[in-house]
Amino acid sequence: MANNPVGIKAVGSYIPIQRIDRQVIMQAWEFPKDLAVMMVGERSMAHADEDVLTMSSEAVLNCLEGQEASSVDGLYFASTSSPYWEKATSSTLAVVADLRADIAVADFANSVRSSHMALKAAVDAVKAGSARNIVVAASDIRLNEPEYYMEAMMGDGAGALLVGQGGNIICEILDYCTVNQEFFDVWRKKEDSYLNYDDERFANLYGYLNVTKQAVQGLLKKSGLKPEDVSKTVAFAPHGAAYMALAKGSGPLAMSFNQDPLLMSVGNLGNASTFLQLALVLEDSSPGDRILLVGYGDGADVFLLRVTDGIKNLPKKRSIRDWLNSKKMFSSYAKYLKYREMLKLKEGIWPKDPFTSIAYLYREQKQDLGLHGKKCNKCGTVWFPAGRVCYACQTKDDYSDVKLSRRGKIVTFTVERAIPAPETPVGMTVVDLDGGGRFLTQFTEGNVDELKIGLDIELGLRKYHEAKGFNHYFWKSRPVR
Amino acid sequence: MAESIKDRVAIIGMGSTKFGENFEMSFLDMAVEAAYEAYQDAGIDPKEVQAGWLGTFAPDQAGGFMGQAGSFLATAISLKDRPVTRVTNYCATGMEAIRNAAFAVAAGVFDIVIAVGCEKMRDVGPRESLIKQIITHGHPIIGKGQTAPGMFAMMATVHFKRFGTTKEDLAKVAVKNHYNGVRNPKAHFRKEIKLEQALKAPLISDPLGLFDCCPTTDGAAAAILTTPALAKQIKKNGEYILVKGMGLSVVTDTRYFEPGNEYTGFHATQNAAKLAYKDAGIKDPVKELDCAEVHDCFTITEILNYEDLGLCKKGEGGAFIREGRSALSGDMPVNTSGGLKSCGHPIGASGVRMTYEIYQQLLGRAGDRQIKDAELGLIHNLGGPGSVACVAIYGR
Repeated sequence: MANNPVGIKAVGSYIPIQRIDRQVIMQAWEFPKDLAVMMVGERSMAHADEDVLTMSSEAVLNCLEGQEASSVDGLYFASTSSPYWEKATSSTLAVVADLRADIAVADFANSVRSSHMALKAAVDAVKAGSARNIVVAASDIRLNEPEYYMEAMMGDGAGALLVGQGGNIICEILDYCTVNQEFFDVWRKKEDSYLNYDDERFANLYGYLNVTKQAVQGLLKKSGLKPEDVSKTVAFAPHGAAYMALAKGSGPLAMSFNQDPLLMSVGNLGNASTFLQLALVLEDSSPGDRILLVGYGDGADVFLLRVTDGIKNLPKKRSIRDWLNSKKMFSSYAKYLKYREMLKLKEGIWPKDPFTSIAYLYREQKQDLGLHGKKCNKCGTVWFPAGRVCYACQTKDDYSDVKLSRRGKIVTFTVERAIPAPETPVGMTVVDLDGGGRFLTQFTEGNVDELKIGLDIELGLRKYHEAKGFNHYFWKSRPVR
Repeated sequence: MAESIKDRVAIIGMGSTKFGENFEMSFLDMAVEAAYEAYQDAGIDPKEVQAGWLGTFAPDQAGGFMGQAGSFLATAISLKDRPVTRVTNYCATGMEAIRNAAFAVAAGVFDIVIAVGCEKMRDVGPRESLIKQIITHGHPIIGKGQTAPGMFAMMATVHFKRFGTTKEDLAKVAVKNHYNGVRNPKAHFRKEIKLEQALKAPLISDPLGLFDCCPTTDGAAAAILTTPALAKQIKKNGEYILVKGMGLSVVTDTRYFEPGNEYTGFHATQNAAKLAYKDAGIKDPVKELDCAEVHDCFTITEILNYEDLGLCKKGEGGAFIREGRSALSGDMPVNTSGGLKSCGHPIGASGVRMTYEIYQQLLGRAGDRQIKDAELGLIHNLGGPGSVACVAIYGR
């Protein structure tokens, strides 16, 4: 290992619990039999209250578990499906992750290869010494025209990599090669709800298979690496057929396409694709393994990674396998359309125009997004939300700031059957959080029949509703996955 | 040195509209009806009233800022150029109108005053009142999804598990209050229901179903207050009642985030009751009280109230209803008027309507639901939910 190598210190992942069997979509549209070969496996589906911001927050928090948030000097967020055209998502994620204010945040947008562009920028920043550690988060929810087969090929998810320098990295980033390509493969204008395609056969031949090959060849030449020295090639692919074609056409490298591209279990994850594939690969890697990380979209690029001894000391935390294995089959295609707001409903699925105020929310940011409570220094009671006077002992202005745990147990609950929500009935839970703090919040993702006093839950950031034209995010409880 | 309110304030006249979906009456029409029945009952001319208190909780639903300020009573009920204050304190609003009016009389600052509770909830759709309010108002993101039934349903979840209370116990409360409502000409619902109906009703907030919830209702009620000395003069036939005790208690507004809250009862009710019992010198409420109007916004709430008001031990509320103790024929009749279940809960009016019921009981005017020899009665309201409660004791 070089002195002070730059590489990946930690990996974070998140895959929504909902999975749709592709057959459900096949049957919904009564697709012709010639599509049957593609309509196998499952795709992951974000819940109605999830978006790329909420999914990324899970991946970032997962990534930073056991890491010093105060030593993170930057957060880069990559997506083609950010909630806003103007309003960064990286700044929100930084607050949720309790990062310092004096850090570099950036949104990398507009390309399905933005995650790699962000990763390159992070590596360069760390190498140049302008940052010690940077989190790179990537997530996509890419919508296709319903009835177009690609809808079934997509998958929703998020990944995060902590890029840093020094002895505790788990894999070094040794080299990089990139090829720009001015090309129309898949695209979307601001006013389009769905992705656009034209000549897919042409795009596959002259786009995907073409530039990825160039980038890989370029890297092998540049680094002097021989194909047989590559343990694994992790590559973005729009779907299984393209992935197979890439593997087959890569000559001696074909043997290295020996890992799960997640296409059959989750789908085409867009910007999160290679990060999550890498998360899975690293679980079974050995020190010295060389990995190619291949990105595609508006060109292609390849990172050369080498696994270090640090892989043996991975902290115990939820892994991508845990997310993959915890799943619920979702069988209503109509509901899927409703959750992605692709059906125009008269009332919409969210309550209309609740009270909001940017000043109010700004003042409470650390509490509401950062999940911070107050611990009274006199009596030790932990409060959320909290005022200046401790409700228990009436001591004024004498408290410590605490970040609440996201784990807890249900104290009591009810099931609301008469309120507007994307999915009714809605569970409402009162939870005792580990380490202190009592929390009242909506229950999501779980079956309301599972609700019982004493149930273990965890909190996750979710999208509640829109008011005054902006999204409102807050924590909801869900059964522990 | 502060003194108890006992026997320092008298109520010499009361009035009430019919409680129901009063589509043909405006907010002010209802205030007039209640106030003028009270004037007539008291035998006084409106001009004799020196000050007024108006209890209205939600002017937004009434529209046109109705009930936002005391001025609304000015021309409506001939209180022009008098001091009139609008008060609000969640479901204790009606009682607050009476309470503050009583303080003014006890302070010796006014001789004759009026307290009016008035609420218009049905000029908007039933769900547009409380359920929508919590979503559209309230904190921008914390606690979204709370509803009024939901907050009490959570208490039921715990009560069922901890004390073995059942849905059947809840249904018995509904059946009892519907039975009583039939005997109250001013109730919203005047129809008996069967236990089966209540048990099979669609769920609203588990485990509460449709028949566990009070309806959305319009209504107004009024009380004329004066000193006991003046009451003797004005009502020579002795037909007036005295305030024996009043208690109000507020606790945190973020109950559902309160660490250690066991969800087995409401401190606000317990504290308000303690204050009122102390004022009135009551040591054994279930023995000394002849009747009680308690806040049964939901059936579970009535069961919790039995316990929190000290009518029975914590956890024994289910047994209390099961054993028929709170029935008209029981040893501690509760909600002889039919309660909020039958009368509905026009929030600002309920406390005054409850007082109206006790007033009628104590003066022998309760017709088919009359409790024999009623001499001491209690009213209770709980709002917030759980952040404020009030209790008042009335007697002869």
